[in-house]
Amino acid sequence: VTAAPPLAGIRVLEFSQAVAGPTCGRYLAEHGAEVIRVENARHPDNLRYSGSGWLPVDTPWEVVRDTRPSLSTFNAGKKSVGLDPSRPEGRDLVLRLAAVSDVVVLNLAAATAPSLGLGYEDLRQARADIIYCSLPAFGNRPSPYRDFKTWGPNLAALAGIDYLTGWPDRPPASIGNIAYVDFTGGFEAAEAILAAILRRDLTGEGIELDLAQYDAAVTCLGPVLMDFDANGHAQERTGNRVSSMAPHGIFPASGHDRWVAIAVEDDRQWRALCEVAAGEGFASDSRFLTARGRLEAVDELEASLSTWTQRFSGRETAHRLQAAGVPAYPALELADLAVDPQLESRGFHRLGAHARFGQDLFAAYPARLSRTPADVRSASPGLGQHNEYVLGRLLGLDEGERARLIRAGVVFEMPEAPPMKRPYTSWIRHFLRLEGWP
Amino acid sequence: VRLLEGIRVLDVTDELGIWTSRRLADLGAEVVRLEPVNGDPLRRRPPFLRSEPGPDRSLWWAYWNAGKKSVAGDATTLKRLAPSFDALCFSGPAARYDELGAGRLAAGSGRLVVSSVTPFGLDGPFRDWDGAELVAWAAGGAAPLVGDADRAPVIPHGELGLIVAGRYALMGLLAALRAARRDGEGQLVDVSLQEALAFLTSETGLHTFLDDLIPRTRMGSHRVSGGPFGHFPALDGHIHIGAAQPAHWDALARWIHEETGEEAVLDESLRGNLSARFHTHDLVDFFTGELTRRHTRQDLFMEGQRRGVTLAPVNDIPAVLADPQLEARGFWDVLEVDGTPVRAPRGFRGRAPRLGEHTEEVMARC
Repeated sequence: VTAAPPLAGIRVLEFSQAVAGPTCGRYLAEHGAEVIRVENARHPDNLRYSGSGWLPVDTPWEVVRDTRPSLSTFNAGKKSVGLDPSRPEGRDLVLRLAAVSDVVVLNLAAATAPSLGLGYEDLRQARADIIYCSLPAFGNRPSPYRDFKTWGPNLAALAGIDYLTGWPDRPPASIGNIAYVDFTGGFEAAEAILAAILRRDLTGEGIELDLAQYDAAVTCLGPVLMDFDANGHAQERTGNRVSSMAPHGIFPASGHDRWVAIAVEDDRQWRALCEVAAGEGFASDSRFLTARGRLEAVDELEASLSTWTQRFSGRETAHRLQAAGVPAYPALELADLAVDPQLESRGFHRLGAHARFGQDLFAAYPARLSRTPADVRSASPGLGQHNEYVLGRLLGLDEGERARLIRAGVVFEMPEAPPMKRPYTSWIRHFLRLEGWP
Repeated sequence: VRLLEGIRVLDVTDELGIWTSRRLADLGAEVVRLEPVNGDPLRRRPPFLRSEPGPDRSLWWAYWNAGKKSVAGDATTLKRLAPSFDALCFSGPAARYDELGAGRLAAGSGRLVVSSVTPFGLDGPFRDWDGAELVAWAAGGAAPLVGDADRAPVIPHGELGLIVAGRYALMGLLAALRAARRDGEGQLVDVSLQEALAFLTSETGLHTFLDDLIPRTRMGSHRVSGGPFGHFPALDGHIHIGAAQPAHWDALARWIHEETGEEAVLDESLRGNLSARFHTHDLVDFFTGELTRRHTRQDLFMEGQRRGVTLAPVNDIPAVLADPQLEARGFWDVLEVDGTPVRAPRGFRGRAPRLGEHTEEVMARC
């Protein structure tokens, strides 16, 4: 008999956009909560505005909105109800849902929830012990930027993270393609909600959690900020170098735009690297035997190491160095992630049910629990896919009432469409060896 | 409110997963850090107060251990203490996990929850491979997405990857604590740094790439997916603009038109969300730069926000400390480091402990 998941019996209502709110809900779903996205087709999740690039241009938006690949990683394991909370009847349905829910999480603009009459006090009327977590960019309380328009990538710039990423001799490269600040917002919310659930179990009390994505991002830089406050030392971007060890970088491997990361933490690891690279000039250079020597001549060190690494594949260099106890790994390109032996062995790529594609790929939740493992089996829901369950089963609305709400534009249904196939479905199975391909 | 009042946590993390135990202390758990009798090696991590090393002068140590207690001891102490605690936080190489016997503690009959952050996780062919921040960005496929197109991939300064792994461990640990309370049984929470970073790539990552075969290569602050997105030059630095929603672009286009007289930006074909300008991003980037280079970051920030454009200055660290928003939110608190007050993000409950400061108090209870 497998144990019930940790959050069995917890229901979460999620009003969310893009990454921060959705990842929070995803993590809670992974631990067994029933997570329901309340989605307004008139103001949809950003990630639903556009879909797969290969869709015919005349594909109706009601289909397009369910196709974006990243939706599945951010929303696996959830249900979706299509509902406009700005309509009086829609708001009423939200309050009735809140009455049978435990947690509400919102990453909407600060003004949105109060203007809809869905602030903490409103929802507390519906459910006295509700855990209410809001996650706007700048918090709900009055503050200079509260009503500014922003999203994750802007916040990475504002928080100093972009400035600290890149080469010292160039303008900031920024954290670019990684939505780091969206993720820190999602973590902040999920951590606080989990702790609040633990407290509610004991006290029976709900709570309002007024979080801000910007604050959550700046918090990550604690020691860097303290260094300036205490010492007047403004830390700068350093490429991949660090002040305490060398070599510490990403070096060219054989092939076009292929790279291998090597981090030599101490002199013992340096000597181990030199044995692997026996015969190279740097391997017998006595200046490099100490960290201080390597740091003093770091330009020369990195240049000569590069002439060695570029003769081999990143995979080969990493295997040889790791066998000698030196931290190294090829810098994986996206396609490499599909065939990485370690990710494959731990089941990082998952397939789950998808209403449009039959099955869809998503990334596994990185926290692996031994006794109550995550067992999410569905990829992202389509917008409104679970109207019947949410409005019918949970709220007791009959079919006629649901049809009336759809006609009135309060409820958005997920229209049927011919089943579709991801373009890679026929060949990817040879790389990603997963059960259940459609 | 101390959400985790009454929960007791033993902390043997290293830098790989120290977020977990620090946040548990913030949330109100009693966190006891077990240090070697000659002091935690992390006490030697820079930066130091006034750049002078000393066991209580590492700002890094002070921040990540704020609000915890300290017991000096060894593996025997760990075995003795563990039964009196709800959770054990571990991070480091898998070999150290084995040495400490953390696996036996997790598999024991008690209700102890053990969280673990290791470079590659506790199983799989590379279980025993070594690595930390840099190697994880490479192994998770995140590094090649960051940096300039004509140079090597680059990772952000500040160990932001390690934080991510520690947060997955924390979420798993909190969930496992609830299950332990219910079932009287603990378990292991196993987090791989590689997977934590791989998860971060998911917006632009493998599954998106498979779907459209457009490589999301690094191109500085810009993205291949449309424009304008990224840093644009201002008189005194850079500003980040990302016209995500149709209304953001409409507002920006009107602004560009007013200031530069450029009619083309108002063209109907450019309207929509970011990807509507997938083929035209060079063009819209050019127009956007023509606007931004006329003003300072702060002027662009305030005027842009007035107009409903999503933008923000690219702040350096002194600018972050001076940001009026953080001040108004009461974001800063004072953390005492070796008797000196230092400004730090709020959330912690008291200073970091001195070596063995709570040994007597804690051992007396166990």
